[in-house]
Amino acid sequence: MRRSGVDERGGSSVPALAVLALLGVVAAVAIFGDREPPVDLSTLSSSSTQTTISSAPLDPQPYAVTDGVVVHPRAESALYTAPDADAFAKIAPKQFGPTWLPVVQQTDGWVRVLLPSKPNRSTAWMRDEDLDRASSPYLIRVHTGSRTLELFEQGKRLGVWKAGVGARKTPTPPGRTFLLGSIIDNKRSASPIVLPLGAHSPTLDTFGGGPGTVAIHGWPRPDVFGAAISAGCVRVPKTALAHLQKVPLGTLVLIDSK
Amino acid sequence: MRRQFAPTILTAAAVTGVVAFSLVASSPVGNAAARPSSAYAVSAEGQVPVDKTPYVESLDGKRRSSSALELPKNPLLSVRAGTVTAGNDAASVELFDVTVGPDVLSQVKVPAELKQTCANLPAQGADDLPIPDLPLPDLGLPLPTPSTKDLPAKNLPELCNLLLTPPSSLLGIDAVNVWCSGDDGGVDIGSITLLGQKIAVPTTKQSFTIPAAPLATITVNEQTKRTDGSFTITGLTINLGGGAQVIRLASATCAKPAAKPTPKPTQPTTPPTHVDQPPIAPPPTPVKTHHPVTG
Repeated sequence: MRRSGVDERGGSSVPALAVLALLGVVAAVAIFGDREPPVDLSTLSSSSTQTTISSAPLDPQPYAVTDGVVVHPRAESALYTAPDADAFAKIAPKQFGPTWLPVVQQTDGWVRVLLPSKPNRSTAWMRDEDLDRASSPYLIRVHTGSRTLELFEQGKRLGVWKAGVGARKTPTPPGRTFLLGSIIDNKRSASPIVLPLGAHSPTLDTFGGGPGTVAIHGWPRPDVFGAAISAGCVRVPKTALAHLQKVPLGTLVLIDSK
Repeated sequence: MRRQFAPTILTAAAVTGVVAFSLVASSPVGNAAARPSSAYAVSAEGQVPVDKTPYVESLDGKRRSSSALELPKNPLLSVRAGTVTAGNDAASVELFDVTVGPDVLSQVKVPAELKQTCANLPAQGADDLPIPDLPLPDLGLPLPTPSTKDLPAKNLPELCNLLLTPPSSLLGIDAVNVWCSGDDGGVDIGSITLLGQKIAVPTTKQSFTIPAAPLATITVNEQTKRTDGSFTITGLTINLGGGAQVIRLASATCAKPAAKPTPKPTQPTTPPTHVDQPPIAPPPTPVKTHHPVTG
């Protein structure tokens, strides 16, 4: 009787021991399988104002402000859907000038940035180690309802100007985007100073041979300021433009319908 | 009834194990806390195992250093002195006078026949004489029993020289310095002597391997970058007898200090209150170009 009890106990323990042993193997595989091969950037498409990367995760808080941190990839760098997830695209260190992107979220070793590619509100996670950091004390707010542009520095309003915004059929896209570049385009003789943003026209796939990049720029006639008449761009007076030209790249631009 | 308890408890333990492990396994990977900056001078696996000695790590970014280089008594490996240091995303190792396989050839009893051949080498034309393929006695090291053909001798006079006036060790390294900082690092090696012959080592090339098979394979400047952001650089990896014994010399791992207690994504808030705010970005320099915008 006693002996059979021992046998019985031994027999029933086998599956449990087997599970424990299996756990050990799985744990070992998990530990040693941890290494990730380096990302092959050559197979990834590059995020820029010219490209569409539909797999990019969208901005979860498109009307929130940030603490002003902007980052610059020192070299061509991978873009990830989440920290430690797969790379889905890459970004070059230059767009019009140096690439500076606003940080909208961060976690240990990773930052989430807004992207210059289509669709609007595209974001990506990047490795902290690939990036230079700086901070912009500025914030640009564009209100398509009141057709005004406000510029803030350290939370203090530097100015508010009437602005021409997108017409009803070609609206200026709402949400948060950023100052992507500062260019002087001499083909636009009337208003050569152009500040391209990270956003695109939601209704025009292309415009004038370009990808429909939305920008802030001047306009030769003052009657447009305060009107909803543009193809998506934000037209501002000269004084506003002079201020905006000093704003660092990557600075957040918040577009709402107020 | 009571007899049923033991298996039940064991099964319950296994199930708990499964659940606990699943929870651990599904937690986000890549916590920088997992691997601190660290450094060690020597480690070995195989017939002569040596734990990482001395080993220092820095979990909090403070600099820690050790020169306590005492190896267990062994016939294979000796190091005269060394210092290891680990700190804030930085680590380094300095090692002096490493000897692998001391007196390896002086123990070899040269076969009488070969001794005689060596003593009667002709004054001229000896360089063209072939090397006889004679088995050598077991060297007492984790190596396959070598033959005279495996020794680094091009001709008979060289072989005679090697066996009759044997070098002091299989491998001698006079100095190794390894450092890392962030995800960058470097290796500096004084000189390597393999059976009495100096060998050239390009330390700037990553994972450069010196094949001296079947005696040893030496890999210089091995670098590993991991997904958790840590970076390891190992000065020398010596593989004896096709993996029977592996010796690692001077290894430094750089990682950011742990301790940020906010692994969850946080939403930046405004106004800026961080003390470690990065530098203010400069105003942009306008670029002359043409890009059609929506107007």
